[in-house]
Amino acid sequence: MALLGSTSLQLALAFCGLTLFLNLAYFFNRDLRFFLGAQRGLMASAALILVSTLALLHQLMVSNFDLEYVVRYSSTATPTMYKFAGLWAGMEGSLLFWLAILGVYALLVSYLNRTRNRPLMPVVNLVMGIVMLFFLVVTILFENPFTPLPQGAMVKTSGMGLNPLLQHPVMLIHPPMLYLGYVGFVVPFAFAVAALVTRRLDATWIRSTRRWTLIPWLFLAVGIILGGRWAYVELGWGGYWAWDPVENASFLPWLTGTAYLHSVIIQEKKNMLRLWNVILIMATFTLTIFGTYLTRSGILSSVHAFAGTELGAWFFGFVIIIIASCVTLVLLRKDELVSKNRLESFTSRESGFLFNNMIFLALALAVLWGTMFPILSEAVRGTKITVGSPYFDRITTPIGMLLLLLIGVGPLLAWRRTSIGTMRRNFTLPAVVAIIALAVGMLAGIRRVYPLLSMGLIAFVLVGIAVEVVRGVQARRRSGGESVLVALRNMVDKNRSRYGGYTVHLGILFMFVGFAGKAFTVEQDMTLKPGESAYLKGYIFTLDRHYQVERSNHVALVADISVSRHDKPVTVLKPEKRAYTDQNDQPNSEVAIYSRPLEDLYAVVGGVNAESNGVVLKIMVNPLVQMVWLGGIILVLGTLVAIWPSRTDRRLKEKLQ
Amino acid sequence: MIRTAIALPLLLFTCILWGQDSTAASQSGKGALQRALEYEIMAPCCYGGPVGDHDSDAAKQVKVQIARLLAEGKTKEEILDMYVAIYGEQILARPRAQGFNLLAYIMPPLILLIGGLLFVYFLNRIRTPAADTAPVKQKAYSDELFNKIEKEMQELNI
Repeated sequence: MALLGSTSLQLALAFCGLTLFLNLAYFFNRDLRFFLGAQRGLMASAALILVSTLALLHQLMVSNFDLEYVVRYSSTATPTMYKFAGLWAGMEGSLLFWLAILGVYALLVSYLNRTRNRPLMPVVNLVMGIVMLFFLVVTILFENPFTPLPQGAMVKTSGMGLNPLLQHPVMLIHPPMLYLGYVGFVVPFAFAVAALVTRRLDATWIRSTRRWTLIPWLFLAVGIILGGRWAYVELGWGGYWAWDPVENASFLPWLTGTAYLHSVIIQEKKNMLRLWNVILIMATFTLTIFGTYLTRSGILSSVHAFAGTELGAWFFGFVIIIIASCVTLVLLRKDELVSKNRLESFTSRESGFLFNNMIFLALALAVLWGTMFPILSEAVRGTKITVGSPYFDRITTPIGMLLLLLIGVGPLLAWRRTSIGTMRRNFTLPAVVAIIALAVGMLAGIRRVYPLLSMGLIAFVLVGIAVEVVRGVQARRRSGGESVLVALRNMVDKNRSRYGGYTVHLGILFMFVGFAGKAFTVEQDMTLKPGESAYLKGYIFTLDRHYQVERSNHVALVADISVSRHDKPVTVLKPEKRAYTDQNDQPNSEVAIYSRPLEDLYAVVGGVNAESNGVVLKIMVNPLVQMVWLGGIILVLGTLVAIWPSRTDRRLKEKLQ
Repeated sequence: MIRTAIALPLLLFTCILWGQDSTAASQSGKGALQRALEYEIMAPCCYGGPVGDHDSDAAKQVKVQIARLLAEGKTKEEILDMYVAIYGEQILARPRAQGFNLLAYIMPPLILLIGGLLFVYFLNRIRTPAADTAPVKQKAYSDELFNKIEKEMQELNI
């Protein structure tokens, strides 16, 4: 099976090379057979990559310790579902997994566009083929997961096992989601390049790739949120976002992708911002490769990064080639990218979108600057420095507040021009409610600027969205006499991207509520003996007992902590400190969380003091964290609403068939 | 004028917000200064996060040291200086805003300010009605060629 995987990978490389050759041959002599050959070559290459990936999965499942990769990322004691996660746990497997996802995208794009976008498809295939070729070359030459274990290597015959931190159910979903997001942006990028090469620069390529952009954007968002969830439940520090370089690397393309999703609406509706949209999607794709470079080069230290290898130079080179090619292409076509329509007013929705784009880009640049600054500083001064979460919190929070304001203002502006009367009508209620929310916050004793400002802005956005929806429903009821629910359904169906977008905004709003709650976190480190109690924010935490449990691949110290409030029992928390027997007794904390709608009780056990029999504990009361996850769910639902075809689309399709 | 009147105060307001502390440093539950320091000093075991968020023995030691130093009457700056002298600048969770490192703090507001000015500038430019001067170039593939391709594809039944 290992031989099958290895051979498939090499054949995939051969087919990919052939694809590029045939594509170039088609460009030179326009013989359609070359194009068809190239398309089928790409599909064959993708299929072979999938075969290779399945072969590696099989080797992980059957614990074939003849392969170095299987030895390093699996063991006989590793639970089956985490053997599966071994596929993306190491550099070699994760590169193959990246290729597999690219292969799936290539197959889908080729199949779904077999009768559509024919003028663009040769270039789309070429771009995807080049990206595939690059990843195949680096995988086969430098990080081949099918490399046999060297003769005489001193390793554990039962395998070294998966890193305990990765042995969490979220880790079965989080990396695939991120990869689906990262890799997926190759599709709109390829279409943008195709539009530039073929000079078909109207909104057709934008419309063709609307879903191809929304889907990776959604995957990336889900990946980021799940990563936060994993950090919260697994790492034991009570937070979900640490501004780690690798986290930032995933956030950057999401930010530019979000800007792109907003600005394409202007191109679709007004045929404006054509140059801007091309630049944004190129920047987004480049940032996905740049993020891969950051993760795999070892230039930045991160808990998420792979060990540094010689791959860094290759990825850096690839990023430079992408940037140079994009700049050249844009410069060659810049005259044709000039928009034909003009903005009519500053107080228009178009301007709102443009301003929002500027803020997203500023945020992305600020995060990129902070992420790269340690390297710059070391290069200039020769001194290592850290740019950690306190820096990013300080830099990004004001921009986040500005974005929150724009989320509220944008939908209240009219297309083309907003008259003073309309502004008064649209803004009065949200502004009044925002002021009331601020006043309530102050009366409740909140004095810190950000939580107060967040309260006001969240109220503003929430009422703004509600006003928009209520007006829409009322208008339908007046014109068609529909019931509220029917009017709501029809209204959403008529304009899925708009109302899906509002739902996404609502999700973001919930997330901001959660972020604001972080300011009110209370925590305490304590050592309790059995029977002793501690008081924190209205709760009494009593250590009932502590004991050891032996499981398949670890020994766990468990502390039973009874929690009560106002003399009524609330829950029993059971945090664990594990020592993984297949990982040289590597310790790992298993957090205990009791979630209530408005706050989480969070307990981490540090160990037992052998002399005093006291258990070292960290207890936190984290307000509003649930809002972050709830916001994530709403964001997913909103994006699905936007992606799902409307009834009109479906009818049109049926007619065409 | 209206554009500048709306956009620039927004950006200035954002710049003022940059002066506000948004870190977890001011959380309640512990002495505010101790908490602030725990988020200013990285865990020396791995430099992967501030000691306030870390659970390693090295981080716990630093927390105990901070409490002791504060009890001895040391100021925040004195404590930070002490750690920098031992571990180097890498121990600070954010670089000090001095010398070259000042750039770390100046650049983000500058980006936003330049972005804002460009936004106002471009808005003025793209609002001005202009004749459609974009030259129409011949497409890389002519329509005739694509009709041919279309026909061939139909013939090949794909």
